[in-house]
Amino acid sequence: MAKVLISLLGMDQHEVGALTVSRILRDAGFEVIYLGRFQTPDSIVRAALEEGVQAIGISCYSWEFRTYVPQLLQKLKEEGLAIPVVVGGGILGEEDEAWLRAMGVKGVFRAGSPEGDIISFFRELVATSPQAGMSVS
Amino acid sequence: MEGQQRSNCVRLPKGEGAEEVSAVSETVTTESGIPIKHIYRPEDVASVDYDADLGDSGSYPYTRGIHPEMFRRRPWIMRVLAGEGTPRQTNMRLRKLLEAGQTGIDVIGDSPTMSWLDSDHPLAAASVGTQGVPLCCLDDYRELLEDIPLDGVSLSWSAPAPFVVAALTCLAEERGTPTDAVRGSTIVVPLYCEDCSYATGHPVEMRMRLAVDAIEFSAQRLPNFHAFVEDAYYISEVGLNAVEELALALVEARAIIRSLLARGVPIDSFGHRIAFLLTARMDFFEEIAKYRALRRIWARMMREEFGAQDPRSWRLTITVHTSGISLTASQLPNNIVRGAYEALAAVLGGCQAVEVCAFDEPFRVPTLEAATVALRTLQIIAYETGVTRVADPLGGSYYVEALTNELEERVLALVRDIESKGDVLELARTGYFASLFHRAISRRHEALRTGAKKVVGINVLVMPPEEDTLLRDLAETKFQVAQEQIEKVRELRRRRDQARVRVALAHVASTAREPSANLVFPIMEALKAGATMGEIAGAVRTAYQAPRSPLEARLLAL
Repeated sequence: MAKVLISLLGMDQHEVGALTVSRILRDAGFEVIYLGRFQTPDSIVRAALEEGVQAIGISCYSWEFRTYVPQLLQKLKEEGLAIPVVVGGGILGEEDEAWLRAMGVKGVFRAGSPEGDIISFFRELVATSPQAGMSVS
Repeated sequence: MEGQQRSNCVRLPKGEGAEEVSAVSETVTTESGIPIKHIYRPEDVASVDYDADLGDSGSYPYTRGIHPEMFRRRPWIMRVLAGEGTPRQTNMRLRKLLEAGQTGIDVIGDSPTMSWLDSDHPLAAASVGTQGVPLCCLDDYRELLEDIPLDGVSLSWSAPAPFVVAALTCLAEERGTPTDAVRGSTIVVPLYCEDCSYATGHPVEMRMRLAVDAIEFSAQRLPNFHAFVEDAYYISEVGLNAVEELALALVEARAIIRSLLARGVPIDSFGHRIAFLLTARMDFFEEIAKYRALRRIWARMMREEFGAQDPRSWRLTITVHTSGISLTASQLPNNIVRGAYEALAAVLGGCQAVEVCAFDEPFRVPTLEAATVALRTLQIIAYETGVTRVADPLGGSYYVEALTNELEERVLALVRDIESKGDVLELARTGYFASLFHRAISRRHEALRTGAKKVVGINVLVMPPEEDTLLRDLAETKFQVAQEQIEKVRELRRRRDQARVRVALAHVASTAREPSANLVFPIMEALKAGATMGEIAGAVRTAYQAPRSPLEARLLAL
């Protein structure tokens, strides 16, 4: 079964979106590791490794993604992990989306993203993602 | 006879495009699930006894309002949320809003503050000053309120209550303002904060203790300050319905009242200083009925159950913040319309303070421009619509009275049901409330997905993103983390008298070990000595067998 991790970042406590997306993915047949609040790039990468997830979904309702998402991508690179990162959240604007994509975030879901799009994107992502925990090199 | 038709069949006028719309197959309900008839008649309110159940405004049980003349006497307090950047930057914002005619201020702490974390904590580094204002030391409060009178303006706070009342008292002393002239309010959130947006990682007993301390302290020292604002707003934001909102608010308020009584604090010394902070959803009449039902429930509960004798304890002050979750990130101008309808419901429901959620709040704490529109929304209702002329203008409406009765019944039943499950602190600890919140999140998502709940721009009347540009540039503007605030707190730690801080924190810790002693007095001394909120909270935690470090405390709580 495809395994994905859903997490929030830093002090962001708005869990409604993260829990909703977790439920959508779970109902679509994914195994969801819900990491919840107060996570940092370190704690997310650690959990991703331990759980062997195939994708990391970050839910954001604060601007902390601007600090932590670059750190998360860097950390994954340092660990030699090719786990794709997806970022979603109602507060993301057009510029944020462009900025995140340019940095290497695989998918960005802004407000109003249809549920079906999120599910099919994750399906596609895990189908093409190398087995989690495997080295890129 | 035409008027006696009882089906749910709605007939539209004949004419071009008109057709008979039959809704017989599905029950029409309010958002909370109350079945609704197509018309209400005298027999639907036959059980209502005017004097016993309604009374004039200003009379028991205050269903129709807590003041005889209501808004003729004075309009509701008008305010919008403020808090971004440093305390100094927020101070500038507050002054501008006061110049624009705001009659109260409403400050929200940034996310570290709401979690009782100092600005220089590593986990706070990316969020200081971005979703509120940092308030972690006495200097923060000093800078925030510079040149703002402590008397004359109502100061409302979404921030940790014991620190708010301690800091306000320190400031009043410094400025020579009599503490009984300080008006305003602060939220207390002991039961549900870990499950929604204000998690602290503190044990529930400690949270309840600090809430009770803040209220008891204020009853003595800040007699005109509402230190007991039962906040059902932030929990409603996960998608609770009106019945759940009132029931959970009552469960928490009743638990706090019982704790105060157990400590020997007389009911009438704090009963009149209790206020409820509620949301205003888009379900217009249900929301109006909600405020009316709550006042009646409250009056009877305070008088009959808790034995309050002072009529002021029977009159519930209600403050409203229009619903943030009802706003949409798409078609932003529509949010202005939503705010207006929701605020009107709060006004028609007789609330004492109303705050409108600004149209850009799906993206950020309000810009000054959006906050001004929110304030103007309230001013237009007050000065142009004429709704202030009469108290409780919908009182006597068959529909509104029937809905008020039904809500009252359902809310009381849910309160009884929850309280029958056992000690509420235990319910909080074991995740019972969290499960209610999670259920509400799923329910709302399902209603939007199936279209049972229609929201313009979300599941109906969606606009292509390339056309949806109005006001978007404003909403998507950002500002940087308040780096200078982090430096300021570090500097405070360097320059203060460390020995004095140690003594003050030790006093906080020893007071915390005496359950009946009030922590606000030693908290004031510690703040004056230059201790921070995080350090003080750590000292309290040690008395509750919780780690001094906030990060460890939080991880344990997860």
